[in-house]
Amino acid sequence: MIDKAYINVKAVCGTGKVTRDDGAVINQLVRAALETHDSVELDFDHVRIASVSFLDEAIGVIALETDLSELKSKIDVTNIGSFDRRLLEDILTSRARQARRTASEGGRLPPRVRVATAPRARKRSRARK
Amino acid sequence: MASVTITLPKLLTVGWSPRLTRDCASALGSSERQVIFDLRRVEWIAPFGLTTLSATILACLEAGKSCAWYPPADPGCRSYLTEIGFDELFLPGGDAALHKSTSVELRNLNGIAPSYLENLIAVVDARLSLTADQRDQVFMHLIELMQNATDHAHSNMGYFVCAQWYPTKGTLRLSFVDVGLGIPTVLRTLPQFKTEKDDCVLIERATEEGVTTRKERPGGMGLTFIRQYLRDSKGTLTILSEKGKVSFQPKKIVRRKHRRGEPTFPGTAIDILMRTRATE
Repeated sequence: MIDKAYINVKAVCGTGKVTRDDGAVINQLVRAALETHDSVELDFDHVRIASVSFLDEAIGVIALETDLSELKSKIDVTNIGSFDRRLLEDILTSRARQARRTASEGGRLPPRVRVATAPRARKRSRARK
Repeated sequence: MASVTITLPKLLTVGWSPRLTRDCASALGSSERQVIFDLRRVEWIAPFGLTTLSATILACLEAGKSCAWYPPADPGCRSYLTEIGFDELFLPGGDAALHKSTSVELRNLNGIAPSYLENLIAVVDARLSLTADQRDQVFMHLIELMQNATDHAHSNMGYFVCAQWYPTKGTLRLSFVDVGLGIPTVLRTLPQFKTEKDDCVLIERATEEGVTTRKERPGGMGLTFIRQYLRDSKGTLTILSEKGKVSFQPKKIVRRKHRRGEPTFPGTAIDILMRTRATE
């Protein structure tokens, strides 16, 4: 049986506040819930969010450190409007892409060192050939 | 009292931003104690022009100058200034803004203002033939720009915002202006942009995914999404900040190069144009 935590966005943030700071509060609650539960239900209770800052701070930034499919399996977003759901999907995709890019940059081998030679020396070596 | 008169152009629109920037810089840079804005020739005022002029007047007042203006000779423009709330903001005892179904009043705000958002959504809901998605998009643009102006401008004067719907053109314009730190100055605090001289490049970078000056938490998504969503709905985002002006149009990006001797825009102006009719 899956042990699922429940967070009501409306109860935490109210209806008129969807700032980045409110998102940070939700983020802390989600992280804390995932430490003690298998998954978490994030109930938006039909509140209009339409804020990139809020959704990114609340959930998006977690995609920078967690695999996207794993994140989606752990956070169940309910009672959210269609625009907000699309916005959240876009934010998660964007953050996951950013995480991949950062990982690939970190893992890339440094460019091969090329030793410069003085032009005169190069000319001389060509002339010998 | 010694005064300087700034004669404003016929059109106070985003297209006339170089002239308006010059005039506002003259007002701010003037050593005279009184600045008189002459609007008598003005025939058309768009949200961009109104917010820019308002921010300049407030900056002059904050600098200890006194400000006055000659109202536009054009009766339509004159009544627009009253109806949009310009008189109420700057004229002691000025007439209160009239809540019209095509405009959302000029306001000087600090932080995210839920009541202003609700007013705008009420206008949108009442008259515009927007889909629910478009309505939420307007909401998103406003919230993000309010959040940005609060987080990055570091201005004790807040920001000016105003919105106007043009039924015959089928467009909605939103303008935000602050006279705080401009985008180029803020981005140059990052090591990767420290040596970048072109303000247009820095404005473009500010709209890229993940580019942010926030150090404690990841950020840099707000302008990216505004740009992306506007492009998808065939709208336009124009950002004017310091020496750069970049217009993100649906199919191209138009950069206006700063010319030698031209003044710098004192802060950031963001102008959004949304199509309110279905686009094919």
